[in-house]
Amino acid sequence: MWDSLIQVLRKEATILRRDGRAPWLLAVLGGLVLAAALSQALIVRSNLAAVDAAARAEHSRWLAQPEKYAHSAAHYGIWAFRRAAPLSIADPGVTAYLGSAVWMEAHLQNEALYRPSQDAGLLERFGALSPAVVVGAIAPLFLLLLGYGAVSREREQGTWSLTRIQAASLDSIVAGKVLAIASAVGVALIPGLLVVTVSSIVLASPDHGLTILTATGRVLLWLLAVAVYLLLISSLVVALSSATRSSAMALGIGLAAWTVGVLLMPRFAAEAAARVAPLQTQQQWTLALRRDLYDPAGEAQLESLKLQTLQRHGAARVEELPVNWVGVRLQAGEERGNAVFDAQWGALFEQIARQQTLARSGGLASPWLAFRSLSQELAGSSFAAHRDFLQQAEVQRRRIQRILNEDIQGKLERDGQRPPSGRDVWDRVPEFRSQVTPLAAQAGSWRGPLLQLLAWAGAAFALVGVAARRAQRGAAT
Amino acid sequence: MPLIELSQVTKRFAARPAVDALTLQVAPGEVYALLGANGAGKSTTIQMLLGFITPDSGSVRVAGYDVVAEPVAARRQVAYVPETVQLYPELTGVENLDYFSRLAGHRLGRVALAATLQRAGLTGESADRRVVTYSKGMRQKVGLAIAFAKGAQVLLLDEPTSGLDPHAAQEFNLATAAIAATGVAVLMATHDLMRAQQLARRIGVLHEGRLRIERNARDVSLAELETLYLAAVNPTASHAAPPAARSVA
Repeated sequence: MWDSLIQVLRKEATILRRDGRAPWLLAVLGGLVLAAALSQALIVRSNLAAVDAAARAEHSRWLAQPEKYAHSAAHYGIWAFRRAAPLSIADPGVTAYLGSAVWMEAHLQNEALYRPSQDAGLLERFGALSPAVVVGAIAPLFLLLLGYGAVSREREQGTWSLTRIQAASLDSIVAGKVLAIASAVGVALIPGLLVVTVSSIVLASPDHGLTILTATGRVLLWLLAVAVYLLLISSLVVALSSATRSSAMALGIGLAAWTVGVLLMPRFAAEAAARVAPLQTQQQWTLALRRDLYDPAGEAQLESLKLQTLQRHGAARVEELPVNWVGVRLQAGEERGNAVFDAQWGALFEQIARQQTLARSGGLASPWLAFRSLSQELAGSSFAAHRDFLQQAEVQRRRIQRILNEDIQGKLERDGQRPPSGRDVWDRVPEFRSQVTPLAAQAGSWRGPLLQLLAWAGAAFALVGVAARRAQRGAAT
Repeated sequence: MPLIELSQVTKRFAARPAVDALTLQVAPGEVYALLGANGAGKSTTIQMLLGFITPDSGSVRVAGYDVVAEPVAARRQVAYVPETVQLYPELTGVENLDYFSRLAGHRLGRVALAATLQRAGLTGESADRRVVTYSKGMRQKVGLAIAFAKGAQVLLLDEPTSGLDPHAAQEFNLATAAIAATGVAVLMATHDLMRAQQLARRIGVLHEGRLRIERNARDVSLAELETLYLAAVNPTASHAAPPAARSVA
């Protein structure tokens, strides 16, 4: 079996090499993925440098603020920047369409601002053609062009009967053809994938949740997903070639399938998901947030807290308290707001997750969708990764407010003068560094697409096996 | 033991019998020529022996293996040269031979490959040229070399000299005789009465799927064979009525 497979692989490689079209096709594909990888690597490297510089400058600005009332510092605010995951070189995912910085201030959990797509330059526009798009959406077209005649052309030429009569297992012959096509495209992709691999490992930073080891693991998993994807598409192409009566028919059906799977299905899945599970409009969401945030019941809760605090300390007035009541009240207000934010942001995230799950179910009809979703999750460029960034920024915002409010609580007002805070307090606020969430903590996001991709692979390998058995029967042509 | 055995084999396409109750045996070292007009059932018979077509009834055995029940074992014992041997045009003759013989489980070295091609009549630098430049005769020789390399006990030839010039056809016949001399059973479907008479030990004439005549080639001259053939394939014409098929094995 293995010997026949290797012979077929060798023979197909020789034919592809001597074929006038194949080397050109592969050179174009290889050039595309290399250009996409290089441009994406430049974009990510420049993003990382810019984010690191901005984060350092922002933290310095925070530390350099003069002595002031701590709550003034809470409103002085500070930015949290999202550092791109290094593997977004392979797949920038949805990061360009989501904000990359969050303004952290008292009382409010702000939305992320500054979407890279808003001010994308020419280089970044070309970068939209990422390695993942070339591999997932364009490479199948090349696999089809190389493989549509894998079996049908042999039948048309008459070499298939001579092959069958050699009594080698047709499973191994068909498998050899699948491997030959997939390897040819795989070899063409090597330079680009090498750029992805090296760059994303080099740009990994343990300060941001990725050691060289974990970065390498992620890249290897992504490359494994690419290999499975190329093999499954090659299997589908060879099965199609075996099932159709002519090469022309195989090419026609293959092109139609590519158009549906790559061009139509993603749009259809997104539209269908938006209709079945629509999101609130931004206006509706903001109104609901404000309604809960400025609920008059909040004032009553604060009044009740004040009474409890006075009672606990045996005081009649807040001025008699051993702690600064303003600090206590500010922190209580923050905590009440936090509960509202958790509820409203949580509901929004749930709606988005429901819509995304529906859209991703399109991966059952299109392997490109399954691969795209898995690739974004592995690259750390999915919506789940963005949500993690927002949550990290919110944790930091709450930490800052707590530090500042606790400082206020510890400093009693004298003669109506607000006690100032200085560098020692600002120093207590750690520098914000966005973290790439470990894959293990995000299993819920990548498990579905992974299962879809594996189901596609299983179905494609089964189909090609059936095709081999069908080819075993049937008259020689 | 005969290496090719067809026993009461029938195959119908859309209710029309392509092969009708055909019984035929070919012994080791024997060349059997199956004559017949287009559509007589010759190619269908060969396709059934190859296992490409399943008979509706009857039994087809190759080297003792039932081709329906044990197709892979049967194919291991069969080599096949069609009317036009189709090879990979991007590969050279040697590369084609190497590929197909390795598929059949035989690894031949460079020298053995060249010797096999030479034995089939393909000599010199032509073996290293891409097949796209080959004439039909050269392709047929590579096809025969592939059959040699396989070392099969049974060789099936389907109009192998059709379209070849007399010299190439003669060379092909000599090579076929050589392979039969090694104990291989050869079944050759052909229109070429002269080549059949020269090469075969026995000759059968198929008409509308039935074996109408079977003769020992040494017992009939070419002229007699032609008369018998015409009478068999066109019984309403003014030829003498053919005698019933009889075994001479």
